[in-house]
Amino acid sequence: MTTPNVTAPPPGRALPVQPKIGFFRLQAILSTALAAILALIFIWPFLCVVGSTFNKIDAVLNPLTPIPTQFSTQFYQLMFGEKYQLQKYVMNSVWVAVATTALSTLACALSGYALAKLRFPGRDLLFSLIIGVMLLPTATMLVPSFIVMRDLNLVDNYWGLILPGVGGNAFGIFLMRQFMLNIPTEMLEAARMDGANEFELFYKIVLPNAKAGIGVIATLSLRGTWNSLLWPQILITDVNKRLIMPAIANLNQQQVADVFALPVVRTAAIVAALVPLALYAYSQRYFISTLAGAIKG
Amino acid sequence: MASMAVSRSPKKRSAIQRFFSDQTKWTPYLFVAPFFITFAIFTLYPMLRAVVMGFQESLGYTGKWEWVGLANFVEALTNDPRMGTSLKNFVYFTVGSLATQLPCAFLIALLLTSRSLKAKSLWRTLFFIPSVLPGVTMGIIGGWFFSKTHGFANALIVAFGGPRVDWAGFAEYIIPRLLLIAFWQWMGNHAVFLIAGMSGIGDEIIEASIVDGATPWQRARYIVLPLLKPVFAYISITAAAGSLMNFEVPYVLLGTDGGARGKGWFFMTHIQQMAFGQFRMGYATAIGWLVFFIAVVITILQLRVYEFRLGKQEEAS
Repeated sequence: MTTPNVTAPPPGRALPVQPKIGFFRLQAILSTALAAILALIFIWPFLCVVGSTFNKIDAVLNPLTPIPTQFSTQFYQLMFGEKYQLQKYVMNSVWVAVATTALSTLACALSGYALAKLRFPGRDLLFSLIIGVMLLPTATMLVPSFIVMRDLNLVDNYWGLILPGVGGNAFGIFLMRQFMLNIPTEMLEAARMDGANEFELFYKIVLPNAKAGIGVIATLSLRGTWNSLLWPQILITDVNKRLIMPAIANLNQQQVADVFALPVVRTAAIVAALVPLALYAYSQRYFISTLAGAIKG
Repeated sequence: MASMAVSRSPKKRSAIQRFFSDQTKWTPYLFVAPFFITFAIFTLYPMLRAVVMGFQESLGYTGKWEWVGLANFVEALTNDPRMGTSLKNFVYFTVGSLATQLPCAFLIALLLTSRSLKAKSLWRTLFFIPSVLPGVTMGIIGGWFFSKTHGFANALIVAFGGPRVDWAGFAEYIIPRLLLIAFWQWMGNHAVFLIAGMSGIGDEIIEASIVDGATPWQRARYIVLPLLKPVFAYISITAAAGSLMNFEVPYVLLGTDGGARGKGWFFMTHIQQMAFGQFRMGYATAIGWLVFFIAVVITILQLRVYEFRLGKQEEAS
């Protein structure tokens, strides 16, 4: 509904043509209201499902409202109680996710730096190898990866989850190399002149300058490990060693004759989502811009 | 210091000694080692195993293998109804996802970049949030949403006076259910990428169009939309590849038996079930290679489509 020349004067300043301020304000109110309504519709079912986890088991439910009919934290208590013991799986997942992220991020930073800033024979070959293998989809690699794990005796072993997370993070290498390319070579040369050895260089110059990249890759790795279902589901068969996502998926498929199972699964699914949500809240400032920058390049 | 020692007596030292006396020569290899050693064991070696395994069949869970030649591929292509179902579901799901999500994402992106909008980042965050949720959570929420007795969808239908629908009981509802969940999960993500693309369009182009008297609609249709073609290409290529790997939501929502009347198979759930439900490891690997082949073909096709649209006359050739 705008006329084409309405954008020229900035809002709020005294203008020769009075109605246009009003028009701009009206437009602001309309577009903001529209965005708010759409966002509310979009997020409404999510609010409702969160609300439903605060009900009592025998409450008469109305799925269309997020306000629980009979407020209770029953499902949350049950979830961490004797019977379901989801805290066990949460701790397993925390362990694996933290170990994978720490090792993978360190390996990515080291390799990304070497591939971006150091010259050595075989560098381009190694890099094209990563890019080539990066294109292979999970579907192709799933079963052979499992066979290799079985041969290495890593089934039911968390290292079978952690190590492929390090060696399979080709995207992390790719992204980290892009970040490392931005570090000025003159800075590295100057430090070498001053007598810094290669390790000091990495520790004192490269790492502090690659903080944003390390943050993005650590966040992606944490989120990926935490959210993953398929690989931990296949590799970990021992019930006590299960990670959170396979535990929820299994509980969801075994709800036989237990009225509590379904709401507890739902509650667990929401609690498990708090981790990626918190990560997103923490990193969102640079997250979107970094990823958007990566696709433009 | 070390390099000076080398230059003084280069002939007395072997090549290996010279290599290790110069730190700048060996440290790069040390730096890439942690990644490349794990990469070689856990990615490269399984890949080579995959090449062989496609032509083998495992004898149960024993670890023994039998050479079967092309039999796996022949069976997958001619004698496996689940493959047909998976392919059909993949096509419906991908085309349906793009057809529903992209236009809405574009409109939302236009709305969220309009100059008069207040609290832009809040709305952007709200639309983006579902895409960071775990696939398992989305599957569980989807299951609740389409539950027959206490689900959101049926409550809404009943509120408008309609009958309850048995969403899980009919094969026709499988794809629509998945499409709605996918829409909820990915539309905001696409919108954010489009917004990033729009912010890359120079102000002078937009201002020039304003001076030339273009209406907002004309501006969106003839200026913004064509300039966003690379972003659309990126989204649709990654979305197609992603829906080829679609696992978590179908697995959680439809279970291990392929959903209503076995019409809910996707490639990944099929592979998982073949390998770890029936222990046909070789056959599952062969399907994996076929999926890889499909991924390559659809990616090349899309690259062609998006390149050729830049110049219309090339399309004819």
